[in-house]
Amino acid sequence: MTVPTVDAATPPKLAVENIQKTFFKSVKDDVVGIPVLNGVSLSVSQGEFVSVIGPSGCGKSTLLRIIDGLIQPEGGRVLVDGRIVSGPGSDRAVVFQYFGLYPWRSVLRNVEFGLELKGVPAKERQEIALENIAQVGLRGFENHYPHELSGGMRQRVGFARALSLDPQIILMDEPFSSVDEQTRELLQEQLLELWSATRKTILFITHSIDEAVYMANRVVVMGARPGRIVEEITVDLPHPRTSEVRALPRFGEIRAHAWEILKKGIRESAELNAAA
Amino acid sequence: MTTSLAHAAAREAAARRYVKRRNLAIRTGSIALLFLAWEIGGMFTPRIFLAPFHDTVLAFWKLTKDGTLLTATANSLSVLLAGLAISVVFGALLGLLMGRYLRFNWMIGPYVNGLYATPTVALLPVLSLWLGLYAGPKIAIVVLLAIFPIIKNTYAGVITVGQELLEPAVSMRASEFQIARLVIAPAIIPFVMAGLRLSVGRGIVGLVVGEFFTAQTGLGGLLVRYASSFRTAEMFVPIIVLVAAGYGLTSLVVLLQQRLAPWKETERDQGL
Amino acid sequence: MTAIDDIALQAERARIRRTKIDRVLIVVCTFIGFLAVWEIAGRLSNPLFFAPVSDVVREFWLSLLDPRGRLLNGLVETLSVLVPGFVIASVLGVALGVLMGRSNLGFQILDPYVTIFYNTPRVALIPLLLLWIGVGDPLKIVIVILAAIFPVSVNTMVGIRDVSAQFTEPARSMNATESQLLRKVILPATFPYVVAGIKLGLGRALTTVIVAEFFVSVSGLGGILQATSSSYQMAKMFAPVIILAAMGVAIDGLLTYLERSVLRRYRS
Ligand SMILES: Nc1ncnc2c1ncn2[C@@H]1O[C@H](COP(=O)(O)OP(=O)(O)OP(=O)(O)O)[C@@H](O)[C@H]1O
Ligand SMILES: [Mg+2]
Repeated sequence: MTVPTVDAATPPKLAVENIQKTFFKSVKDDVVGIPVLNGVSLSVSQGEFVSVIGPSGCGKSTLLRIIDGLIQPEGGRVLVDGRIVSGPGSDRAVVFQYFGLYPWRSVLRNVEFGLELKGVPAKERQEIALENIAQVGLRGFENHYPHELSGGMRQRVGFARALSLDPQIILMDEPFSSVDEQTRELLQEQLLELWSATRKTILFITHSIDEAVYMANRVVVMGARPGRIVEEITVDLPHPRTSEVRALPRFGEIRAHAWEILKKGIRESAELNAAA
Repeated sequence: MTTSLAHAAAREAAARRYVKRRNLAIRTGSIALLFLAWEIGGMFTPRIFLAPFHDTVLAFWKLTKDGTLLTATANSLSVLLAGLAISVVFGALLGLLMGRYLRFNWMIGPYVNGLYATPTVALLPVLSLWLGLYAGPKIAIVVLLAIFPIIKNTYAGVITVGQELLEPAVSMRASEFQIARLVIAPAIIPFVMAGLRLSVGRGIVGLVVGEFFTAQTGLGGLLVRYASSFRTAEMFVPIIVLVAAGYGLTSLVVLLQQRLAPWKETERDQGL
Repeated sequence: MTAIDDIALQAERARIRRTKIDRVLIVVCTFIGFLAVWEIAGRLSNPLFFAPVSDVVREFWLSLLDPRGRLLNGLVETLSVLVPGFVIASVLGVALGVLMGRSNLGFQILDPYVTIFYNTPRVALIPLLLLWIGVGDPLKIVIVILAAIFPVSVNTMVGIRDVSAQFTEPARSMNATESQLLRKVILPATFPYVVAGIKLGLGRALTTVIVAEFFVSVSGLGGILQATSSSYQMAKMFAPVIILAAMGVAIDGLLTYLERSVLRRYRS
């Protein structure tokens, strides 16, 4: 499989144009602005798998929220299929960093939640939910409650919920961060299979350089404070990604390169902070 | 290896059983001592001050048989439950509005906080002037004591319904009404219940005071009537029922709390 | 920074300023509205049942100016049982809590009583105590103690049980004696709980002392309430209510402040 070529005539699936975001903080009697994103631009084509890495607090989750339409940027815009995003839409779904499950709902009812909001009839939404619960490997846990599940299982419930909405773009915020190493590899494999089967567009935030390179067609590296994109690395590794891919020398090269850039970004921001 | 482990476990289990039994024995002994002192004290004290414990037991039986106790209890419970029901409904509603609408909070927040800190029993005389002699002022004073913990807890609940619960719903395009019904309402139930648990005790205080000082009905009425005629054996009967009612209702709320919100560790009892 | 940031910052400043002004306006307008409704309702209704706020304020002011007046005397009388009763309750409550928190035997012996008394509406004991102690200050002091002691002791006990392991182990390993442990480690660590218990206890004590005064006093605040309402002196009746509300709010504010500053220190 190759990276889809971008046809100049059709707009990209997702376009992020020159995003500026500032959070405000009250300090004594005044407010100060903390710039979090400064001129972030990104273009993702249909069916692409893009990873985003960056130092903690550089604004990855904020970028994801802006793309979903949960918060509005001060400047710039987000386009999906060439249409400006002004709020959450059914073409996008988020898998939240903190799971975002409802403790009073069983696994099944949590997965059904989005469909329920859309007014999908009970029988139909249950069918869809059960299918997606099975998809993420949680069959048999339909009637459990989130507090009875491990972190990794909760994360998968959040994933099943996003899947059951059948979005075109899936926005994932460190989805495998609370999973142990073995489960993580299993989930990575499942996600890749699902991706190649459904051709969904995926934006995948992660802390792990290894994971970012292994999963994606492209790795976007962000720098800290205020967050911006320092470099985009095209991952020219073969598909399907299997554990052999990890052993390729090219894999190591790309990973080392990504780490170099990330380090530089961290160092620069430290100097910037020291100067300020 | 396994056998010695099994031995150790068995020994440990036996030791724990022993501690449990011993604790139970101490508790029973301790409480038995109270009744013994009551019995003996009652025998050597003039009846107008204290009657022996067994007289209270007999009085309990007599009052149960002739229906006095049942009538009084039903009377008191209906006032209490009416007051608590009103408190839950309006307390949860006010707390919800205060938490959800900043301006509403600015408007009534100071009064809610002020009245919560005020000993509202002070309003009883005027309530009984305004609301007459029947259940009105009693229910009103129960509400005035019981509603504030519920308002405060619900309010705290609403403002702690964090982004973690709201954001996914907004992301999935929930309407304001859907958010209220499907996210905020279930999320605040444990807080309402925590408030209600504090309210039970306060409500009973309101009930008793109301029954003392407006028309003397129910358990509180019985209590003053027996006290003023020095019938000390009978006097303890309504007190015992009130203690049991407080204990029973509180336990019921705790049980309900665990049933309705099993994900939430029951917060520690803060007293009141 | 950039122009966009600057504009956004200005907008945010303006928004916060507007919010502050809004808040003041809303609070003030609500208060004025509340007074206006009270005033109008008071003028329209039967003077035997309600008084306009202007009359209430005038009566209140006059009674405050009169140093030998009924209101100030009543306040003094109420405080003179509330304060000693409360001090005794706090000391005994902490002692009881320590006993229950540190000794299993103490806990097993006392816990049944604490459970019973905790669930006893303390006002229900007033008629009984009236028989035993008679009308007078001792009755009121005893009832204040009964009202306030259990929240203090239960909170102290819970605090001691909560903090124990985490803080005592380092001290133990440094060979602290039991008394050193208690004074230097356990009690300071339990302090926030004790303050919370005192706050609850004071609220209960205030309520209970008023009810006791309904029964037995003619001159305490509760007594004044009873007397003025039964003689339909509406304007006079609200004066003790105002004082009690002010007392409640002041005590609550003070203890909340104490609680917060203690907690802040303990967190860092
Ligand atoms: N609602 C908010 N109000 C104020 N500041 C915020 C808000 N949300 C995020 N921030 C700040 O913005 C910065 C970026 O936050 P964000 O959560 O986007 O970072 P992140 O890259 O996702 O970090 P992490 O890797 O730890 O998840 C942080 O400094 C954070 O403190
Ligand atoms: Mg993040």
